[in-house]
Amino acid sequence: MATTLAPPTTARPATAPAAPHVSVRRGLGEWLTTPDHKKIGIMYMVSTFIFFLIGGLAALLVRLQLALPEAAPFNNELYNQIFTIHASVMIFLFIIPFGIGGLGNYMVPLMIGARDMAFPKINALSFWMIPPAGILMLSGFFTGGAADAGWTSYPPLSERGPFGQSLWLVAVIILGTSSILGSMNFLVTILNMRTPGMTMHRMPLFVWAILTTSFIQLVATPALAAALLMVLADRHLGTHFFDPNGGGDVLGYQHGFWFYSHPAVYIMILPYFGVISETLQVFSRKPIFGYKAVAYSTAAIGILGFLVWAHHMFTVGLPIISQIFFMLMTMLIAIPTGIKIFNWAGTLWGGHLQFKAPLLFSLGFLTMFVIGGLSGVYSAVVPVDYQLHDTYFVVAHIHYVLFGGSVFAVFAGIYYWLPKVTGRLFSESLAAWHFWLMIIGFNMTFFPMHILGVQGMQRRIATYPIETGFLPVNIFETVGAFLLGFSMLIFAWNAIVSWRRGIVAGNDPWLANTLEWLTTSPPPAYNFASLPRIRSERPLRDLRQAALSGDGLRAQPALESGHAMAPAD
Amino acid sequence: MSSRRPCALRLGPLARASVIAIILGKRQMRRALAVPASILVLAGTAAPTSAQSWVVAPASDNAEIISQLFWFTLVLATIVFLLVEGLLIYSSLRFRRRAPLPLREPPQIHGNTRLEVMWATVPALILIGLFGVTVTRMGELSQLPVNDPSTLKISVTGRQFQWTFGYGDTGVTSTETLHLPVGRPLLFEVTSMDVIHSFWVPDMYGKIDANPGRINRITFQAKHEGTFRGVCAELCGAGHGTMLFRVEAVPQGDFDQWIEQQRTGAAAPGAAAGGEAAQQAAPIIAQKGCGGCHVIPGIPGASGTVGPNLSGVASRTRIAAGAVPNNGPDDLKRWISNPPAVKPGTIMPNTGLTDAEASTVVAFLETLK
Repeated sequence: MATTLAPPTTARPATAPAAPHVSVRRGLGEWLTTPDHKKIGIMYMVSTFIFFLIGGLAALLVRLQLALPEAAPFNNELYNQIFTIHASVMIFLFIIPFGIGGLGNYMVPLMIGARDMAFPKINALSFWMIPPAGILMLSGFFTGGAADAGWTSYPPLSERGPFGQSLWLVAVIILGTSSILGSMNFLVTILNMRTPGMTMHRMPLFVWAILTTSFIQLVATPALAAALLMVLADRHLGTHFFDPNGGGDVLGYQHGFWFYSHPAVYIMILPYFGVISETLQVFSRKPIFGYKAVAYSTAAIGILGFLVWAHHMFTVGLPIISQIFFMLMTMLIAIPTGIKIFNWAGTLWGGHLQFKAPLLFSLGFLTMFVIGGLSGVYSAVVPVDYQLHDTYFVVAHIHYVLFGGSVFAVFAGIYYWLPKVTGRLFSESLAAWHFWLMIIGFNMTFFPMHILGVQGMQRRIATYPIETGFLPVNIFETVGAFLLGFSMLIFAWNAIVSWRRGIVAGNDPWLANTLEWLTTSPPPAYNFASLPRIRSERPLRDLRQAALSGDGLRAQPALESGHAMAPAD
Repeated sequence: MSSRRPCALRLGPLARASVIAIILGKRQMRRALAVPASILVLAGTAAPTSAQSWVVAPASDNAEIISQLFWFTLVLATIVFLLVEGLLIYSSLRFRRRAPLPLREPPQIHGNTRLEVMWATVPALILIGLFGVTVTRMGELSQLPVNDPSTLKISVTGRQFQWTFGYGDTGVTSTETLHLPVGRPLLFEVTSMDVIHSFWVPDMYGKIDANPGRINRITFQAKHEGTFRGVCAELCGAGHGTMLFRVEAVPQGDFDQWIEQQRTGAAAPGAAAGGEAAQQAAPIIAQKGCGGCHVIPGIPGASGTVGPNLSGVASRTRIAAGAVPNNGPDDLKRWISNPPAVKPGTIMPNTGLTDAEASTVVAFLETLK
């Protein structure tokens, strides 16, 4: 469909033009006090992206250290702090809050045709817990040492660490509380505030993903808080939960931690699965292949995700029968994930693919995530995991899932929705440069890690003997990492320039399907002046079809009375 | 051995991918194929270049089982990788449309139940196969030779940042080197004195965590003689990366001889040490209490077992549990002058040796070849 043809939203102006903007505060005061889900969403996205840059800087320092094993720039204590903060910031302050807090906050109410979240002030509260927690975690560097026991913070090591470890524990507990509040808010919003006609099976798949993610967060996060509080108590109150000398058990923490943190892997990926399910439809001009299969496989992952945690613990000395059980569950959860991949491929099949930035990054996500999924199978095979656990193979695996997966989809989502949020188009050619440098840098950095892991390079080591022969590959990876870092500068430049001086995007520059594209870009404070009744999972396409099938004037009544749409093709 | 076949299997698809790229010749096709093709090249070169790696040269019976499972998984994963990536890349390129877009939409296909069932069951069958094979082999791996009278029990104790090994009921211990007899069932009892460590000899067996307050048991048999790398695989603090050890697998006779030497205190290398260098160094060594932690040949009463036995220390290419290179007297002197500065977190204290004292001690240690 050519863009020159009847822009769909002209069928009936969805928003009152030049509506009076009622607001008592302006400027900074407004941002500090706003309960508006869109402003909160922007604050989530901007602040967590700043944490992404901080975490990325820490990653480059890690790579620098590993390229210079015998002339290390940092001493071992500092190195341990740097990689601990890298992982903690990336996971707790970027991947998790960006997807559900940032994209979810901005998009979910728009996509379901609501005016705001169910509890706008609780929404603001859950955002305002994030920056203080982040500062608390990082401030360890100024109190005689940040947390240095890895993002997993296993006791007894984490009970001996510097004071920054206590700050880390408190920070993560605060972030968990923010997650719990946020997920409760999303559950109530999605289950109760959908516009008339939007049944569960007409919800955008991104909303399905946020719904499932919220459920996981609500159930899993308290286990993390409990485990962390016990470590805090051991450190400061003289308890012995994890101290064998006082009758404690060091493995108790690991069960509590992974009961949260394995489901958390799905918290880190499901929202981005949702992003992909949206972008693939729009940029292939087709509906999702197997809507129900995609939606229900998301839910299946959400439930099975609670039964696989001990696959992180195959080497701690569990009974063989437990190892076999968790191997089986881990292999089972690969099936719904595979179903998604095949349905996404089915969505591409026979479509009219426009290689715009969101689709490029979505394809990057698909191809890289497949590698991450397959390397997970090696670790699921218990004896092979005896070898690969705690090596660079696992580091490669987690980055193919969380960077090759989640971060590629983060950028697919950003490029997809940036015109809605800023009202302006970005440069496609700069975005393409960003994509190609990122995917090359990413594979240079992380693919060789599979090989290092198989060769026996342990993770979290500050140095290694030259005789191991690990050096050339590590230097290659460090070059890749700096290329990867450079690609982020291109993105930042593109985003900032387009926000200030980009071409005006209009309501719906992509000919998209879902309700957020019905309103203006950026949307007004009240989101929508009026909404059509929802007849399918692609209400905007329904409007376009109605406009094409007859004359534009009849389109809206036809839509509202439920007359059949013109068949495709 | 099973290591050759999979290599050939993986080169086939690579060649095919290159042929497709050359025949089609389109710029975007070449560009899109570049990524997976380079991945394959890397994967193809991965294992064979590391001649020592457990995947091609497992040095124990159980490492061989793990290696076979690895190759089996690799073949399955490579087939799935090629099919899925091929499907994704083919459909991306085949259905690409440049602007302006066609006026008509493509056919609006909402799904296909038969396909859904197929791509749920086929992966499920593959995974069930992999699960079955793995469970069978796990049975072999997990059988501990507790009732076999020829079994040698070895206690493995981790602490920040070194390993201590105890050999059966001989009372003999060692710290820097793990001595193993070839061809005899070995039962390792692994624990820790402080934080969690993980005992790992990559060429011999997967890792097992050393948990304080718990004992984990694993077993394997060394297949042939050799020297192997041993590491700590679980983050345990500042010295984690340098908590290394060396594995010496030797014939049973040599092993028995070594045990006997340890028991009688007549350590072979440097046992006859003495002479001028020893006489000069002995008072310093006595004053600094080195013998409280180390066995030092030629120094009466130096029989401590906290630190490594120093017999043959001058011949080792690395000291301090593998953390510090030992390429001559200067390295040794730098180490004993201030150990915590060279290996953060080491339990060897700075004894405040003067420069002259350190030189005297090193001159003696260099005789322990």
